Amino acid sequence: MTQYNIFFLTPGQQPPIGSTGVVLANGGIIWIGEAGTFPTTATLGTHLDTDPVFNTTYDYRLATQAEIDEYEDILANPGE
Amino acid sequence: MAANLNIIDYITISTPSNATDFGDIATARRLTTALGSATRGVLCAGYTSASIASMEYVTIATTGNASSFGDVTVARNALAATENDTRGVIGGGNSNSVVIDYITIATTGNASSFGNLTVGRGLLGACASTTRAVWMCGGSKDELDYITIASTGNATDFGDALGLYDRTSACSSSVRGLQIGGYTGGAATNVIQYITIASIGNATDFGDLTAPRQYTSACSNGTRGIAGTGLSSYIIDYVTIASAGDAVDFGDLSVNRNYGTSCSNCDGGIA
Repeated sequence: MTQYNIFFLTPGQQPPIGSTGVVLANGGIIWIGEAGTFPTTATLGTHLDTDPVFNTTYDYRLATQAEIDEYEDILANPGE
Repeated sequence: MAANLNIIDYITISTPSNATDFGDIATARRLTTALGSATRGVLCAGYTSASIASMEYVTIATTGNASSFGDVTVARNALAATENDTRGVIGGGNSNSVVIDYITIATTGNASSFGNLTVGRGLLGACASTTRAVWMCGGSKDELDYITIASTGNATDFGDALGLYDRTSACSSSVRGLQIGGYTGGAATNVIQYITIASIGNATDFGDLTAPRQYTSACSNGTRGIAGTGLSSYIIDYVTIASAGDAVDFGDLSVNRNYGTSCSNCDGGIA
């Protein structure tokens, strides 16, 4: 079953596989995939000694219907 | 509607002349942004028929076509990128994006989250010293905000520009950042303003472009600042960053274009 999640990146994190690359007004990014397959461990970018410690888990939850509607609206009305 | 172009031109910043064809990018786009290390130029995101996330890079010394680099974290256009030669940072974008991403220029791969701008905005400028990156105006705002490039986190307020500017760009020496033209008060502007990157504070008038221009792009070799493209424009101007004054004609781009971008390897520039 297809599931819509919303995740919020913290410094150093890259989006997980399945990210749509579409960000909502609340800063969350929509992920679409099979239910239960959202990765629990974050993909991290390069870390410098001067960077803070990166979070190794994603901040995510199921998207609400309003957030799914906002995502669909962005796809239907791409803005410059 | 403006066409999406795949054209890359190059100039040698120290020698005023017309631009020369460099090669092509793979995905024609507009409202994109670019950053450059001593070796590579990286083109980041933009707009085709929708916002895109893809990045491409060129090896500046070879004048060849671009290759795939990876994706920014979220697809967007009207964003602004800068770098400290090692790390590239890419901020803002359409729909008042607050997103800041970073990449390691020498290694291809997807961008990572850096943090957020203080105020979301697109059509902004970005410039940097080796330590600090500053995003300038955009979204008809006067905000200037900065990050320390080597340490991820949210941006901090830097000061204010001379007014509410949009459709602008920026370039810098290791000391000064210049905001180049743009759109303010309902019209394109010729205003160039500057900040001292190491000192938090408001912008100061620098001089004027040779003509009012919006959707500018800018790059530098650390000494000379270059202002190219615009709205259906082939004009290239230059200024000497260390000495305030009006811009001088540099030469012409190979073709008129809209919403272009530029970067440099400190020895030469591409647009």
